[in-house]
Amino acid sequence: MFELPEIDEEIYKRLSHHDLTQCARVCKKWHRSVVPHLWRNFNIVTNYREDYVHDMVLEDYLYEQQQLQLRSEDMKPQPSHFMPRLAKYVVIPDPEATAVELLRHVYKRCPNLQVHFLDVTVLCQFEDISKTIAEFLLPTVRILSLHISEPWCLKYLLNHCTDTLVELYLNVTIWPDADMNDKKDQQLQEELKTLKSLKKLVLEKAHDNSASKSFWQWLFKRCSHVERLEVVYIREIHQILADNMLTYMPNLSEIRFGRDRYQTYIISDKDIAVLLSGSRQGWKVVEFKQTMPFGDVVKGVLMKHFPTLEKLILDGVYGICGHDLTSILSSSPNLHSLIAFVIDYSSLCKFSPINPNKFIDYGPTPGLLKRWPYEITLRVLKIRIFDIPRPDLKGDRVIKEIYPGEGRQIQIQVYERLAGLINLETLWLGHIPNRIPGLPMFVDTEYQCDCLEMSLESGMHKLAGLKSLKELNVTGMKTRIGLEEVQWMIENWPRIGILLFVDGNDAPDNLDAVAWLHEHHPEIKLEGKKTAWIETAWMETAWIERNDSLVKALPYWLKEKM
Amino acid sequence: MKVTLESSDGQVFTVDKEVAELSVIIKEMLVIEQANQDHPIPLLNVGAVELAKVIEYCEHHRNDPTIDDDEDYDSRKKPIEMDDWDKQFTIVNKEMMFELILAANSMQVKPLLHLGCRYAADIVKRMSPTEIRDLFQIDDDFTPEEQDKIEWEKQWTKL
Repeated sequence: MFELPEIDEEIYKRLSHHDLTQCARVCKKWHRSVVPHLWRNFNIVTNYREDYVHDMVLEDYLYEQQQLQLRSEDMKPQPSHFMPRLAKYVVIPDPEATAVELLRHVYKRCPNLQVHFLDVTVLCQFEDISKTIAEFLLPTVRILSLHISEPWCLKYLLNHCTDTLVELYLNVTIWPDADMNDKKDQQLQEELKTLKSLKKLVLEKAHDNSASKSFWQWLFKRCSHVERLEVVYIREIHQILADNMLTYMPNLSEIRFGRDRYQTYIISDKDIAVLLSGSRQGWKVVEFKQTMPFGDVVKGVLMKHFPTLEKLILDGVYGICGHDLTSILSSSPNLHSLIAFVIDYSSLCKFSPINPNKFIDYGPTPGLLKRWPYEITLRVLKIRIFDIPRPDLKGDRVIKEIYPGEGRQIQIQVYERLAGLINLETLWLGHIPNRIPGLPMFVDTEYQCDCLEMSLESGMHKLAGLKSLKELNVTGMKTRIGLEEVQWMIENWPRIGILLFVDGNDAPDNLDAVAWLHEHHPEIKLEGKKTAWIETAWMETAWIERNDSLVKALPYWLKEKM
Repeated sequence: MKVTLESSDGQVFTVDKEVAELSVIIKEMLVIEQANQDHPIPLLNVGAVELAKVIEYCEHHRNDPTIDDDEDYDSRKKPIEMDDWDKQFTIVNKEMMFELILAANSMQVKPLLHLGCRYAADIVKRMSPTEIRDLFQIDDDFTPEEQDKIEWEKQWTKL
């Protein structure tokens, strides 16, 4: 309209799709400037095939138009400005006759397409489209996701990948008769080409029913630079994978079991142990991301990796006890993050149960804590300490003291233990009472009553040495944090930026504390992120609900106070 | 503090600094040329008539809260509230308004630019291509083949 893109964009933003289509038909100039805006809301990663193909066709058309226009004005042709957008994500739809034609048309038209993400499904029966993809898209692809079950097709496509490939996601089920197709394999008996930039391999589904299971060796030979392996669901091939990992992947140092969102498959204790034994140089990062067993076999294997372990996430693991965590903490010289969201099947209601007696960990001298040799390396600790008697609270869930003063005595020792972790930056002791995944509708909505008070009276001043602390989260705990405690925290923890304590707080001057923080330290965050205890999708809902009510409540309290 | 501005046809306007600073361009210039404020700031793309109108707008909106970065600002989601004054202000002919849009763009007076674009969008809303052509005096330069192609495109894109 103005031939100034920034003004035109402002105007087009205010027009409906229909208005824009009318404008596009006014004249050539308007057409050229309007049409791109017709697709402003277009989600290119869509499974709705038709829309996608339409978009591709349109891009092609525009590209052609632009080229023609430029030629007529005797300028150098330039690559289509739609390409970057188009190239960011490409999902290849189920090919049908027309779609194949159109896709190939577009690929040929866009020789410089830089594909960032490519998701290829159900292509094996269309050799011609595999060829098109291999020729035009794979050479530049950075993240490739393959949902294909024909080994020859997988090999064919992977052979066309280059050093731009960084992440590879596989969803593969190989059928028993796959070996029969070896004839096709023979045709591509190729030289061994290593994917040098491939750092991350994700087996979303790897199920191999074939007799030879030869594909995995073929694959892993090419994955010699992979550093991180994620396993969501695998069957029949654990041992083969582990052997090949040892043989072909010397740099492998991170492994993850399961994924955030879905907890569909449970790998057995033994299978996890088999995979864990597949690292040549020792694991640095081990993550469990869904309901999984953490049995003796796994513990035995994992123990061998304590010397290299830097980060351990036990999210939704069951079968772990406080003693395990203590032994991990006390014998891993490089560990900087321990995140343990653990399901205890015996009581069905405890999260990451770390009994204070285990955590305190007495040394040989009575009354003195054993110094853990590597406690100063830890920077992130997220656990739940439970079983502390709290005579100040009432209710069924409160643990009774065996002798007067027991609760306070235990607390002081727990603080002493925490005080030894002097480089701690993030400390989570509480959690949002929540549903436990994998258990039938079990809801723990109560606040934790057998927890630390987090009051100065109970001995929190022992934590004064945690000078690096940036984040404290005691949400869901019946703490007694009041004005005095908050002022002490600000004074003693110079780097503190996030204090999550409002929820479940029982202190009478809690509101004073919040008001004081708002007035004197508005930069400190009192509301949590929209993620709960551990960043797991299935927990978010409950946290958002709670969090919203918290957010709404805050100004109201303040209003009342002021 | 006062700032002097000079239009493309040489007319000089004196305005309060805070008024002039509604223009991002002038604000930046003032930062760069702090020492050199005696000379009028030349606005080579803005005529006197438009400049007067822009200044009138800025005078009225001098105390408005500033709009955040353009990137965060999505005018489709939250259209700026037009007050009565703004409505009066936009009662000008089409050519004048378009000149104003260009002026607001070159001076980077964001709120005025948004206002103008809204005005321009309102003009073409619900108009057919023919009506738009008449209004803007544009010739239909599509060849019959291209017309066909647009029809074809229409099928694909549900125009």
